[in-house]
Amino acid sequence: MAIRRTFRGGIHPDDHKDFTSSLSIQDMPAPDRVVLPLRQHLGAPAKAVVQVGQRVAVGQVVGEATGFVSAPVHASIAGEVTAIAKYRHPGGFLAESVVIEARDAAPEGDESPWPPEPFRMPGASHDYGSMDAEHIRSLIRNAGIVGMGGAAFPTAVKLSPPKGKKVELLIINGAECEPFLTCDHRCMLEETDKIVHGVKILMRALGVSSAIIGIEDNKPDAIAVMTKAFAGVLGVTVATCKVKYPQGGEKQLIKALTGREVPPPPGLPLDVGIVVQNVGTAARVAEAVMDGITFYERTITLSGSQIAKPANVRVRLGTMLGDVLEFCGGLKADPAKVIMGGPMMGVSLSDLDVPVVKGTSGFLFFDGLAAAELEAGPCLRCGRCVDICPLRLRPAEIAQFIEAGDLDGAEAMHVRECMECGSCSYICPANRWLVQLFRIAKAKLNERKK
Amino acid sequence: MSEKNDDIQAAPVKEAATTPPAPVKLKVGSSPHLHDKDSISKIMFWVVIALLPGVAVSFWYFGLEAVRAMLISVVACLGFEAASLRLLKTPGSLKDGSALVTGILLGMNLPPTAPWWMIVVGSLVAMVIAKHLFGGLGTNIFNPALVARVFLLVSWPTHMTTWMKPGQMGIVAADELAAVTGATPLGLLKEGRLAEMAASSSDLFFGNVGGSIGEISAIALLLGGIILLVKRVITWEIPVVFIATTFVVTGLAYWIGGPEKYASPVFHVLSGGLILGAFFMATDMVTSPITFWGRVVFAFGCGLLTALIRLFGGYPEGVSFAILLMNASTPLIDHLIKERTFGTVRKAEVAS
Repeated sequence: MAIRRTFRGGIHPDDHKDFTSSLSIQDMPAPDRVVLPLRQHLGAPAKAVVQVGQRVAVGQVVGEATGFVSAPVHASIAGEVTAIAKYRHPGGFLAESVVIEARDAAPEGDESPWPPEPFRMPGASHDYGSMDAEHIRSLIRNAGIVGMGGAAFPTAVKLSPPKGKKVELLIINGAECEPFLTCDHRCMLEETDKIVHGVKILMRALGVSSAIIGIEDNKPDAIAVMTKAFAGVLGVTVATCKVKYPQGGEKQLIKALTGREVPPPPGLPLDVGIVVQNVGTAARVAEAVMDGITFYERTITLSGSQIAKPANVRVRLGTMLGDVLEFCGGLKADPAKVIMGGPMMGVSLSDLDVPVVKGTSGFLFFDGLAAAELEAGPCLRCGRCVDICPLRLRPAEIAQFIEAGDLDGAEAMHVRECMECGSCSYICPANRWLVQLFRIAKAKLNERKK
Repeated sequence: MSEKNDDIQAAPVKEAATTPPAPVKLKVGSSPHLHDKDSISKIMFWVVIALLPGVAVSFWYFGLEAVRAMLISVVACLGFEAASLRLLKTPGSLKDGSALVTGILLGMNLPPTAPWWMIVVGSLVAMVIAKHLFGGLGTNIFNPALVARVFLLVSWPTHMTTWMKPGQMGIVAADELAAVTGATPLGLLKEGRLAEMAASSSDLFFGNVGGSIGEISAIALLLGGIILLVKRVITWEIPVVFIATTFVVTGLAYWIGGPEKYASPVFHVLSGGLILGAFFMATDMVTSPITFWGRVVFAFGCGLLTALIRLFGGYPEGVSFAILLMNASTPLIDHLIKERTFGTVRKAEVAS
């Protein structure tokens, strides 16, 4: 085996990926109703540009971006806008959402054919080799593409380095280090060509001549397929990473592949001349730039002990979780905890009545045992959290400051630099709250700054 | 545009517009939603397992006397732990196993002939004074078993340095004890009776020497140490650096000062409480530094002090004092040895 790269620190949770890693992506037919939150990305929420009662085509804009760091939202089914109101977002809050319901025919008096042709962006072409960077960026921006790894940061923003910052390397993130999730893995196997085009397009948009694709070695088939697919592409290498969480974190992947360290916040990968994009994002970029397809569907993984048939499914954004479950064969037993995303950084749902959003990499259904709250004991100062913290913080000591109410002390111990990967809480033999306290402290510090 | 905005605001706010597919009560919580299987009680369990070979060897050589001392120590420590938890309301639980570990460690640090009341006083000092008055599990500055050992050593030096010669095959009647008491190898060394030292390296290795219950057999203790390393209860740096430093410093004395004046470094490593201390006491998580390099410095200090006390100090054995002194330095080490956080540069590097 080739050199296996990694970073210092990190943890080795069981990956539980074999439930779904060998299952092909199933296409779920368009549902009868979708709820599209206008806030599915980091940054300013989109603003609705349709009205209740209006008919929309698949792929048509229903919410437009409201700033530089923002992204538009597109209709994922053809139908009628039946409500624009606040609905439960998987993140737990209520978000302004556009509801679309499928219709059998065009409204009376309208002679145009139904369903309407799916919307395609003008200016898209397979000849992306002759496009300039700004044109590519505008297609990606208008397609509403955001990072598909979970953080949902608008992709076009990452492709627009501020003046004075030189980008020299593109890293494509195929690490997928979160346990259970396999949507990126399947994407690499099944959407290989799209990823190849997407990487070339992203390289062109950034003006870089080299790219590295980082994949963890628990996906040997993906490594083989990608290595073969990129064999003839100049400047692109596929690198094997040792399985370790949180290797899919931008900073850790950059460290593993290049040895460079991104400065602490507000430092960005750009500061070391690098932009990182997820493999799934690269595939969406190819669709947008080559065929003008806007971002309205994605692949998600359904797994966990309570699901009848674990699956990788391609679903329309806005599809309600209940509809996805019905399509996949439902639940074996009532779950005690449902997580959107991976078990390390995902959010637990309070309500199953939520839609799939752009940042949804999967839903995991766990039983009571997995959801049981562990009793916390006193800190033994064993130092395991210090040994494994990928950012070389001292979680145990930061927690002491926070518990004593000393926010300044926590800040001096660099709590702001924490990226909330959760490795410290995972490893703590006393089951102490660590990352959870850091989230609270960071929020309080931000509030105080205002 | 503005009209459309008005429409949005005029729309009714709906919560949970459709009924959930299955009305289930879901637990919510802040991630991570996974946890490593290790726990405090598992750590303590493996420490107990790792101590067993050493305990077994001492029972073999010292017989019922050692069993008696060990039992008193364990029962007394558990009793004082329970009482402290109840009265002082300090964190921790009998179930976490930490008191059991302290009990066994204290037992191993006693001469087999120690009178019962002395063991009880030692347990009181360990559990109440060294542990719970400092705030209980996790907040004690000094290793409780070591505090107790040193307390007993300076309070009743005669009892604590009356060593039994290992009786063969177990049971030794009480009236025979006086006849078979003898000095420890390190004690003989300190008294300048180097020539009388009958203990060969193999005796030291297998435990056929005088000493406290738990320090006599290097191989049994090493076996326990390997268990701890394999189960990842401890990391390698403290025992390795501790023992290596003692070896090097006593070795310098041996090669420079000459073998007629000083014992060999091999003798120093295998005798006394060094291996017990390096694997089981200095590695106490609570009282050692929290970072890798901090632990290296800590272990180096332990090794250096042990060697200096043995070579030039008034006591024959220095492991306990060395570890306690370094326990006291742990907060300082943690304060001084800070790793740069990810992505930051040291000030010196910025300047250059």
